[in-house]
Amino acid sequence: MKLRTKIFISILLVSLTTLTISSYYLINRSHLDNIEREQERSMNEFTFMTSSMENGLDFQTTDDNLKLLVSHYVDYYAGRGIQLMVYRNNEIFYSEFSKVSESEYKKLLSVTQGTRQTQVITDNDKHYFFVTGRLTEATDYVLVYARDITNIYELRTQSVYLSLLLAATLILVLSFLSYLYSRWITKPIDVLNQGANSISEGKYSVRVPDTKDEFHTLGSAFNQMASAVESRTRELEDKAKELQEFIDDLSHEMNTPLTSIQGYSEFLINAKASEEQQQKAAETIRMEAKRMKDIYTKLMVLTLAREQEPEFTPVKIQNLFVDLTDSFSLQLQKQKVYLDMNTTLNVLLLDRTLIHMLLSNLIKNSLQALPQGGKISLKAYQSEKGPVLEVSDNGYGIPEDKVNEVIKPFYRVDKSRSRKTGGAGLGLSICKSIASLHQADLKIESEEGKGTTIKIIFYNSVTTS
Amino acid sequence: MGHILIVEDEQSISDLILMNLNMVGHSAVQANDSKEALEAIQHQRFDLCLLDVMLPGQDGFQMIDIFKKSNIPVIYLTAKGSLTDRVKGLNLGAEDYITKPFETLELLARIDVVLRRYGKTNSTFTYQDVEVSLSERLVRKGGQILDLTAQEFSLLEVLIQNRNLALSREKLLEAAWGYDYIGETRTVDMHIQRLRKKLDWEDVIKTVYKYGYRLEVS
Repeated sequence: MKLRTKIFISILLVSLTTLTISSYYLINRSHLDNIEREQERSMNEFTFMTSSMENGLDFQTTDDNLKLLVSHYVDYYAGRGIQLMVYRNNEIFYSEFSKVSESEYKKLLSVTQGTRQTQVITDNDKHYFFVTGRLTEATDYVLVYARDITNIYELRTQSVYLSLLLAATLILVLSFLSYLYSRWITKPIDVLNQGANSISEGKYSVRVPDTKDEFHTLGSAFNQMASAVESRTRELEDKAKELQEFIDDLSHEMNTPLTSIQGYSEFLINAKASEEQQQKAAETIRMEAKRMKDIYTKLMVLTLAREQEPEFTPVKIQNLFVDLTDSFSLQLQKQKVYLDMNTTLNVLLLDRTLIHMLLSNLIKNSLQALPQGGKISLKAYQSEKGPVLEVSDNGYGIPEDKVNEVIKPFYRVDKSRSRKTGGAGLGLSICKSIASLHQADLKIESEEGKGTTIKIIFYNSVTTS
Repeated sequence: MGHILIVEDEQSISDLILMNLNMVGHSAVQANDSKEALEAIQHQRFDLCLLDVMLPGQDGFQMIDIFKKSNIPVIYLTAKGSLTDRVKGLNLGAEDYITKPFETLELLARIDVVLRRYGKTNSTFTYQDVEVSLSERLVRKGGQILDLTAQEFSLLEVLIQNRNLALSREKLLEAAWGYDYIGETRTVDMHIQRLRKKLDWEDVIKTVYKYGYRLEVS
């Protein structure tokens, strides 16, 4: 049930109950007081009446005479709204009052000497207060007194109607007031509602203002939640975009070798090719297949490296460097690149295979950046943060705004992804994964036209004595 | 046939296209980037340009104006196959847009369409003593006009347009008889026999074992 309805109903119930109870009590009280008053009055009158009649009536005369005399009294009092009847020996002696049937007051006739009997009798919507009593001088005679007290009852009925009217008015007024009141009370809830609606519609930047009451805590919790939703959504959107880029790049990388393989094999099947052409076609197919395998392998390394358990063994840095230099010697010579190596570190706890791969990748990248020759230096030294492995070149560098992007899988600075200027773009992301596995940082410093330096910074824990 | 400029930075693909074009009788020049392409069009006249959209340094979409100015029709070649890119390419004024990987036969067919549109195809084909006039739809051998049915001529035309490339029976049926033809490939064999006989080309129209036929000309 709505809060407003609850507020309204509770206000209404409380007020109506209070009103009803108090009205009921008051009206009843008043009514009873009135009746009591009439009773007293009637009793007094009766007393007066009986003594007056006793003094004034001669009970020795004939019945007719007596009736005549009684009739004077009856007429007199009838004019004042009081009905009188006289009974003798339980039989009616004189009466001009027929409004109430005898059966109603029959038992009052057995009133004993010296006492009075009273009763309120209702007949045909009229209320009478009956008093009966015996005349002291003539105990056979019973005087029956009936006062019309209908007006008291009418008064009560009126009071009831009035209070009903009052209740009805109260309901109307309260409805209106409680509506305003509940609006006022629930305003902070409305504010929160609106906020929640906006967020569900995607407007994540909405926040609710401070309502400065009990809802304050709720409001600020809500705002916190909204911030979390906003940043989470942005995170997910970014992730999705990254994923899409990854897929686009992957498909492009795969596409080119596939096109070659398809084309050349088609050529071999369909065309009357010379032996030289056939040779070239077959050669190209082989090369492209190898390239695809290469990408596939690198991708696998990248994926698995994220989940792999590296094998840490003490690695002699000098030996590692020499190995690397040897494996690249042919390439270095061909490209007229001079590789300089230097280490002040003796042994580090590393996964040799992975670190070898990492440094190979970096050297390959540097070679790529030095198409016309240059210098690569391979260093290992201790810094204040920890031991560092460094590869730097004086090649054509990375543009400043792209330095953060090059780490991403498949990212190529050369947008056309030309083979001449680079590989599939997986190298650096693999390096980053390998570095992470060693809990090391990979830092890139580069200046376009001047060169690039890549540092792998380890924690001191990898140093052994 | 046509003199075509290939603008593609992937060497292996560029070579592949070159070989195929040469096979069917076009001559071609290779360019690796926009600079080489510009140089080429300044020194030679080209009938068509095959342009890769993703080139280092310059967007292939941007280059099309240069070719339009020199009145060289352009067919875009690229791996970027999204609908927006295709529409963009065509809206910019390219004659066609082919996505990689493509089927060689399709590429050649589309090239022919463009060349024909620009009236740059050779209307005659000559080999040994046979002269085939594609415009007149006549064949002369040793000066004498040969009597070929319309269907035989269509088949000959397909062989000539795809010379030196092996065509499957199904492909020949489709190309020379049309997509609606409901028949067996045996009719291809029969027509090939007749062509060989009439032109005395037993050694020119070669059978490709289990596959189809190939018109072999040097």
